[in-house]
Amino acid sequence: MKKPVVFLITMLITILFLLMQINFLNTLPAFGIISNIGIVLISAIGITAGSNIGGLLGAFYGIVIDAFFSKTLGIFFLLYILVGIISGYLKNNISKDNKMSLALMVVINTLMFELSLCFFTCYLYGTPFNFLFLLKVIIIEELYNIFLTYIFFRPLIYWGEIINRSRDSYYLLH
Amino acid sequence: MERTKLKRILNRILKIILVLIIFILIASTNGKNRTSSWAEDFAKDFIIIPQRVVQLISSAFNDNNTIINDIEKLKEKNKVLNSRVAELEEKLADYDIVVQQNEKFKALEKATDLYKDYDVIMADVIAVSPNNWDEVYVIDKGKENGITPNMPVITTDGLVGYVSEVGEKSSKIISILDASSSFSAIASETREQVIVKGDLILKEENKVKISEIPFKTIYKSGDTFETSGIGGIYPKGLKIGKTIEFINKENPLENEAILETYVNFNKLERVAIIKMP
Repeated sequence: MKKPVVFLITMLITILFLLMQINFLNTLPAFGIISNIGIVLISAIGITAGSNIGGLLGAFYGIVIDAFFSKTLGIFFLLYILVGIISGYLKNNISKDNKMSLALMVVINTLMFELSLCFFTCYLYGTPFNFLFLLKVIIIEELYNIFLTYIFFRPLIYWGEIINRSRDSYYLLH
Repeated sequence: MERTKLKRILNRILKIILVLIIFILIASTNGKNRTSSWAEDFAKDFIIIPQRVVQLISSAFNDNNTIINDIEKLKEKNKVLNSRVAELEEKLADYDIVVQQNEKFKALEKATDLYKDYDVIMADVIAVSPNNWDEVYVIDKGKENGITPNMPVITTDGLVGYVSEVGEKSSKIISILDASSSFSAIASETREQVIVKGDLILKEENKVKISEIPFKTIYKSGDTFETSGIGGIYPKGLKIGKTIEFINKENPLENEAILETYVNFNKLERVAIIKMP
């Protein structure tokens, strides 16, 4: 597949996942905690296509979330880039052929994401630190994200491979 | 020769007798209500029985007769009923729309009464922040509609929050449930001043915390609170919620109360943004 087509479809997939998060997953909280499909998407693409593409995708996803919802511009931008980069770096250490590996990747990324978000929320907005809430968010969101990973594992890894194959023609990313 | 002549004469006589009998029969049966004789019935039976069989067979293919005709009639009736059902369903859907519109108009009427003291801009909530730490809502009105940051946001039920960021066509609202939210309020009855704060755990249940409660004051369940007008964002008198729990601490100055907001944030659809003078 040609690079502009792959690029365009990747952006469309990202927007689709974003819309799914806003319109569907936001309305389906488990014990008051919502899942984060962005972490699943960026982890899966990052683990197959590498940290550059993972980071770029994270940047796109994060900037959109920041622009639409964040009280401060840049927090989600930074965190999703980190998710993409971490996934890319662990590419060679984690097998992308089984769901457990990707689930482990999602667990690591969710933990990093929520701890950082807790720090930013308390530090920047003066929100009182609540350990019980943090624990609740981490446990429930981890489980919820693992569930989503099992659902979207195959199509995302498949698309990651397509991006990977067309990588040589990605002049912007080299 | 004479024999053949006699036969011809007899034949003619028989023919004449037959014709006479026929005429007599015609004459005797014409225009009278009568019961047929056994002979007639016997004769009829020869015709009627096969006629019945033929009639049954032919009726199966005949539009004017029973079985297929019934099916056709049923089909036709079914068609008519189906179209009637479709028509009624359509009317029912229209009815639902009318009911919904009526409710909307009622809410608008209520809103008009409620908002008569303020100059408001109505907006629809189009999205909610997709993370567990914030309570940020996005509305479909922005700068081009006259919205500016720090405008208070309400519904017909009560206080929602304030506008934190304004775009050309959309704006962000930080709700009173947000854990970073903190503002001054007063108890509607006692007029005592307190601080209303958002809480990470309570926000899921549309609840906020009340702190800075005056010494020796105890709020009972159902006590209501409204904005105090202090702080520069919210005007005085906007309904916030009612007490559902009072928490006694060792130090009475640290007592807290849990307030259930009047606004159901899980079903937040339409809000009013107050234009401040």
